[in-house]
Amino acid sequence: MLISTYQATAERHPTLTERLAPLAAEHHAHLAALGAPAATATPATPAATATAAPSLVPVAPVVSADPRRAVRALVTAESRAAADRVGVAVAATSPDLARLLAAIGACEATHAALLREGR
Amino acid sequence: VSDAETTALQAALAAEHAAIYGYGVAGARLTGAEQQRAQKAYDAHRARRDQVAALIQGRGEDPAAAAPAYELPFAVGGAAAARRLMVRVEEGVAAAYADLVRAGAGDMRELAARVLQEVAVRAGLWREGSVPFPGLLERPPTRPAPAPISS
Repeated sequence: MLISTYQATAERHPTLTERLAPLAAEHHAHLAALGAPAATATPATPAATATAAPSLVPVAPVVSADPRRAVRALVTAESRAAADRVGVAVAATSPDLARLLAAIGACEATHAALLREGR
Repeated sequence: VSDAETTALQAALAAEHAAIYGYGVAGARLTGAEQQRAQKAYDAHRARRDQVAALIQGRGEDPAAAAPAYELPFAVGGAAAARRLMVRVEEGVAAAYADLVRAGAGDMRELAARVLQEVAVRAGLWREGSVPFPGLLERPPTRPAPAPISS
């Protein structure tokens, strides 16, 4: 979800791409570490969806036309993600997974701070 | 209450002691807003030191004392080195709290996860950049050429 928001933000505001790309790359690293398949911007092929169309289709995030507001929306999304990671880490049954989730949350909190500070 | 938790708490305390020393050295090399930021971080580490020491005492153990001095990883002659030192000490503290997340359960794990976020944020602001897995020494940043956002 965060990755799609970064993608949509960079598409709407190409001047932000250089600043956002390293942060988005870290979210890809998180997905890989959690064992999720790499996120892709392209939807599933029609052939794959023809037999079993999903009832809920992901909607592209709405990005503000104002780049500062768009960045603020990323700050909010990162802060929320970081806060959520704490609870997920506490609930994790595997201690190693808890540590990984906590580190991912710490990265998200850092992203929020860097974006807020204009870096 | 597990032994692993107490061991991890002692490691966090040792990291806080080192951070307090490091900020004492680095803060003197900074001016203006950066010095204020270093002072706030110094105060935060002292508060965490006291909190962690109290947790250890609550388990009937003696909190480890600070060393009289710490070997600096490099000479801290100016502001740039001071910032690098603060990144280094925050990374050391992050590693200790990440391990406390693993060793702890319930409230202890939650505390460690929250402190890890605070520590990572401070490191990121001094570094002016992030790392993908703060505190996880086995997963260092790879720093490849930034991948395009659209995959």
